[in-house]
Amino acid sequence: MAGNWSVILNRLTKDFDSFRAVNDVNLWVAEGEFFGFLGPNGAGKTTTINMSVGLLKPTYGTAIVAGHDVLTDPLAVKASVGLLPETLNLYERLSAREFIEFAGVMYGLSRSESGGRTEELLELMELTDEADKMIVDYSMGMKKKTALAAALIHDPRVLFLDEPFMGIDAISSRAIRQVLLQLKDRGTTIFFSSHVLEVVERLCTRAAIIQKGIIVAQGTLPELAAAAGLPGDSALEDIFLRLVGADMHEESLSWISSRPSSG
Amino acid sequence: MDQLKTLLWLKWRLTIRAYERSPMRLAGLILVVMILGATSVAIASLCLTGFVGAKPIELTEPQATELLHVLLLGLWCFWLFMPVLGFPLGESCDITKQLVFPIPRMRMFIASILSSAMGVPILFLLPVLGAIIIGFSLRSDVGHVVNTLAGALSALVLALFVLHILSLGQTLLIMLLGVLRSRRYQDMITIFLPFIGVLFFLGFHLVFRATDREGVSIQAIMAAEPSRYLTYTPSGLAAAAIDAASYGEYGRFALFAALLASVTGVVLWLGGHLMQRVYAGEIIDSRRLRRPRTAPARVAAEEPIPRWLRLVPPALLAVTVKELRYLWRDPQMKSALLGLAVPVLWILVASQWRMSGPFMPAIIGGMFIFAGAPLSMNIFGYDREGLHILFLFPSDRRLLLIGKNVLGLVILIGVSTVGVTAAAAWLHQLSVVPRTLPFLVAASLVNVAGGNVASIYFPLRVVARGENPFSRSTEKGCIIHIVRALVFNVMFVATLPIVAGLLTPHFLDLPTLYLVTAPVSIVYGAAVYIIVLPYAASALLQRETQLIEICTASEDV
Repeated sequence: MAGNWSVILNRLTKDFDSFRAVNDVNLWVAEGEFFGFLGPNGAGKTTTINMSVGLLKPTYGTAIVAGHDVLTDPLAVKASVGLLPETLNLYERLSAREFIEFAGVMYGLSRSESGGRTEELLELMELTDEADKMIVDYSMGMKKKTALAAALIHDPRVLFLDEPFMGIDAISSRAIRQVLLQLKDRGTTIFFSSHVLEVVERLCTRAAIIQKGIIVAQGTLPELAAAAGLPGDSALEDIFLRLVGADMHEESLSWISSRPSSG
Repeated sequence: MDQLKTLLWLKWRLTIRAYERSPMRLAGLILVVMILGATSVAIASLCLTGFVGAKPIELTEPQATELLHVLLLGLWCFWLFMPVLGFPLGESCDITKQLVFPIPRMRMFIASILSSAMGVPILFLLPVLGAIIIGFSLRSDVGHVVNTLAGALSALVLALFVLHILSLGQTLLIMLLGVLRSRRYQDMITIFLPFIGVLFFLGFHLVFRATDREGVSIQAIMAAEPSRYLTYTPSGLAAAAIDAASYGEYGRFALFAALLASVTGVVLWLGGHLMQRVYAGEIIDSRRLRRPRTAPARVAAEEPIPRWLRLVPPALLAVTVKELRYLWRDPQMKSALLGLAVPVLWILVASQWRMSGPFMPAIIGGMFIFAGAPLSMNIFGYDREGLHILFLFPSDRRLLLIGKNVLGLVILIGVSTVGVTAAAAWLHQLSVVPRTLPFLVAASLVNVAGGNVASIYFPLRVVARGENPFSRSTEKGCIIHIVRALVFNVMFVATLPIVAGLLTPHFLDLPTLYLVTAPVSIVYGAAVYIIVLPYAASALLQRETQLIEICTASEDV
């Protein structure tokens, strides 16, 4: 059974001093699955992803990614995954072309293969015209596309995406969505963390919702709806709000609600 | 009025918040206040003795006036450029953050002038201003006018002068806002300030030598009558007004004070005008000023690679090339390289003290190698946020280390070779250079090997200028610095066999023995490096997550 799972998180826990950011997370993502990972700000999404790819040491628990334990065989995990982090940690004094090519070689591609794929990725991400400019001078969207290109260059088996559409324009966003769907069709597992619920709703086959470091539900959309006590055809936004408890209280601003309406 | 008070509160809040959150920074501030305060009081006292003609300077009254001109010019220059140089450090300096609020432009400008007077540096101005007021009041006591009137008029002019320099500093800040907000300026200033420090260090030494040799004194400088050139500058107008008041020449006083007031009025008008342009978005658009630095355009796959380089593992080559590019492009790394200039001072000192001997160039070369410790002992610190991506790669960790060490070796061997040659030339001992270089190579290898261990177990986060330095790691910084000092000593002990290889042939008076000790030393250095490397690579793999935690500022959840 374990062979069919690309990502297995088993009792994954992370403490920062006295603060428990991730608490006993258990997750399974099947091979080739487009898996949504949802949660409000500060819920523990990025911490979970960082532990899954070996960038953060769990306080407790294990993560098995692409069949390798991240604690005992971190290099094998890293060779199998691509990561687009929410906070873009790029070598900003390199140009996009230099950086993507550097990433390719570091992932084990030959220099010529890395160079060839870099040109294709630059083209796809519409970065070719600015490819020789230092990344530090890029806009947020361009940086994000550069990071995504670097995450894709070695054709990873599992792709972790942390807020991939934040700061990206509609045209690039569409191009990236198409790439992701192509990857999914080719069997790449995609672990997709986002606030944009409609994108998750449209692309993901299953999803998990995390709040305050705890997984409150995971499954297909109907399964999540059932967990939330809503009809099976409910919108993901309603399900999400119900599961994180945000629909319980109606929020308003006193000085706005007390202002007489102009109509 | 509430807006003005709130803006001043903002400045105060942002200033003290930095110290509230870090006891270490607060301790640093207290230390700075004590040192600079004492320096300021010392300068003020010295000037005061000059103004009143007392020992040790014993200036005549005309010379005291010249000193006043020079002193006010110094203050003018310092306060003119201080806001510009300090801009990247404080977000409170960046008025563009206030542009979203409906604050009238003159109110914002006045708030920026007043808030610039709320910083710590103003404290260092006060003793000097006090010395001028007292000095020129006492001097007038010799027989011209009632000293309290001269003191009051001096205080009035100095208040005007302070308003002038604060408003001029803020006007310059607004004028250059587009440039100051650009990445290129931030890069430039990162290198510029340490560079100024090094230049000051060396310049002070050279001036000290020149005055020592030529017998140049402060009296001689004052005798050159700098006031002839300075009277109609803003600082000169203030000095001339104070001088006139001290002699009871009220007509001359009124003339110079009125001129200073006019200049200040023009500056205030200019500042307000520029503020209006900032409001209109005409100044802060740095993109018009920025010419992005681009790497030479190329298609990677078509670029030929030398045959011998094809034998090098691609990942090793990629890391080495990346490190070299960073050395060229990262201002933090360039700034760290300036630390290598410190041994240059030793060359000067050695020549001044007539220090010589066959090992002096080697000693200076060794100093260059150990001056490179901040780079070699913190090889991951300069990657900062990039460590996330570096450690995400599945490459053999030995290749990562070697790739980074190539840069370290190039720097250490290159700089120490240049240093030894320069020192030997300066000391007229060029013949010792060839026999010294192999030992420097060996010592560099040991240094780099030890640096790997220090970098993995005791890394430090490199904090960029203007960046928020608060992190868990900085609070532990003191202990880490002590431990790193111990590692540094261990590295020094590990180089003792190499030192022995250098000394033995000399003391045995057997120069041919160098033919044995030189290669043996290199073999020893290489052996230390090779033995340490796999151990360091294994430790690196184990400690990558801790390194990320310490060396980066990311606190995402």
